[in-house]
Amino acid sequence: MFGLMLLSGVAAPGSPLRAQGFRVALNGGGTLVRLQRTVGLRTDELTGVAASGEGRLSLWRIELGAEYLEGQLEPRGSSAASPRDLVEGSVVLGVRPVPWLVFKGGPHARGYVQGGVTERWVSWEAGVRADVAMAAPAVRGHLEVWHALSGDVTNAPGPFGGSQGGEVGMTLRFSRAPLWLRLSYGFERARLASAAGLDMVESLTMVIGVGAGR
Amino acid sequence: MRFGRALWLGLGLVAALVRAAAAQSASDLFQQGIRAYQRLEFEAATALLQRTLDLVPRDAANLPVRSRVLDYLAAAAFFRGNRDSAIAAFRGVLERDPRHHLDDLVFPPEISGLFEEVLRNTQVVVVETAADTGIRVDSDRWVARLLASSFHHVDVALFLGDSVPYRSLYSGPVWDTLTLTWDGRDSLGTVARAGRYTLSVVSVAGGRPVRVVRVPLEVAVIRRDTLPLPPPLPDSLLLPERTGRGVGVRSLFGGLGLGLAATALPAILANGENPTPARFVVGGAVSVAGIVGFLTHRAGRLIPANAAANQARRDTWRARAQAVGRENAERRRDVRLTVRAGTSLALGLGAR
Repeated sequence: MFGLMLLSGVAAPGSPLRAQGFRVALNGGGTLVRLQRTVGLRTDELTGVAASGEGRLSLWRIELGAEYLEGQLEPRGSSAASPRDLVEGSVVLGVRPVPWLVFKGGPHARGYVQGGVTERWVSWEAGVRADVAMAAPAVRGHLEVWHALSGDVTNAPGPFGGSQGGEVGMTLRFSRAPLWLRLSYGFERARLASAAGLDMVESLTMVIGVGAGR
Repeated sequence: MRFGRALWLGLGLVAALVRAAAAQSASDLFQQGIRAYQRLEFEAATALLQRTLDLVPRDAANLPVRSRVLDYLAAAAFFRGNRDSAIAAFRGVLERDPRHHLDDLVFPPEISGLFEEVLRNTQVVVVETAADTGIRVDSDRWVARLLASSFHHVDVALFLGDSVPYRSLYSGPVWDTLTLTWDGRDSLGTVARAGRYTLSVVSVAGGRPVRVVRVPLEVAVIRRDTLPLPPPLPDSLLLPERTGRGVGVRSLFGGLGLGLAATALPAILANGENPTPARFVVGGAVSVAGIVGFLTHRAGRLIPANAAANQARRDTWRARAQAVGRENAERRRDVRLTVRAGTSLALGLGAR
């Protein structure tokens, strides 16, 4: 699947890519995370603020990126759940056949640490991202969806069942500096193989970046 | 091979000896003629000098010698009572050598007086030019020198071919010498075309043309090739300077579509769940950005960055075109002529 994506990107003929040289982008910011966990008939809700960062290299039509997020989730409202730490990271390899479209894929890991025990979700994901010029060239929007091709869960009530998610956001580029600001909303649904376990992760992220924004 | 080389050497030696013998013979005859003249044996002197004249070549190098022989011939004729012959001899001298002067230490006053009289009444001009001259039209001049026997009026003109008037170079008096220049153009300032021209010098006396000297000129024009102008800027190199209708509409629909997607994302991925209102924050921001994009990119709005980039390209192109134009103007001005002068021909125009 991933090879097919790579080939389709590389083989796309005559794409009017403007900047095909080596580019670097870094960003960092904060993410408001909400986790809604359903196990059986019980539903817990935890929220927290996490620090996030991302680095990205682009060369020709290939992109390589890494993301990291870390924070603490606290039970919300009347939830009886215990607080836990959230650690998340991913490595993404992407191919951009046309300037506004990226096929991407890579490993994604998320861990919930509670009382010295880490509940670890690891999956291989494939997705696609489309950029939309709005108040061009200063403002661009994006829509991204992904789906887990395979995964593994440890220290959880059951085996990995699947996950999928999406993100919508907009990037505001400053005209007189190589800086940009991004606001995005993400939603992910991950489930165990048994219908009893379901996680839904919502995120509202605001980052400031430098370099070539997506 | 050796025989042939020896033959050529022998023939060359014989020719040199013959020339030396002729020169010696002419010189001897001239001396004998002078001695006869000094002994007042004018008939014998005339015969010897005539024979001398037949032996002296008619080239420019021997012109002074021939002039001296003719001086003695004229004097001998005068003392033999043949004044007209003396005048004709002096005129012959002046027609070939207008600046010739009689040696007053050798000839008596009556001969000097006769020569002066002939000099006054003989309006002759000789034209001296370089055989082959190259000039740059902008800065150089082609030069001809007129040597006149006496003060008179001359009309100097250039003719295209033999007879088509091309340009008048001078009309006025000439005393001793006159230097004429030609800038390689006609009277309107147009550079001469390549071809055959004739320099004509007409001597005028008593209001009548009495003699003309014609010098054939072969003119060649050398021009430098000009550079081609840079090709016009193709439209494909220019960016659109004004927004089209599509940009704003795409922005509007893109923003609204993304806003809708943000709002509907939880419902699409996890139908029935209860997401937070955070999605409306992003959905609303994206939608507003789309609307702003629509309003700021309505059709016909100037795109300053593109206009500036296009202007820079046009300026670059214009600068290149102007540089080529300047270079070409310089090259067009840089016209060179080569003027090859032939042998002059003098013609008398009627009896005096």
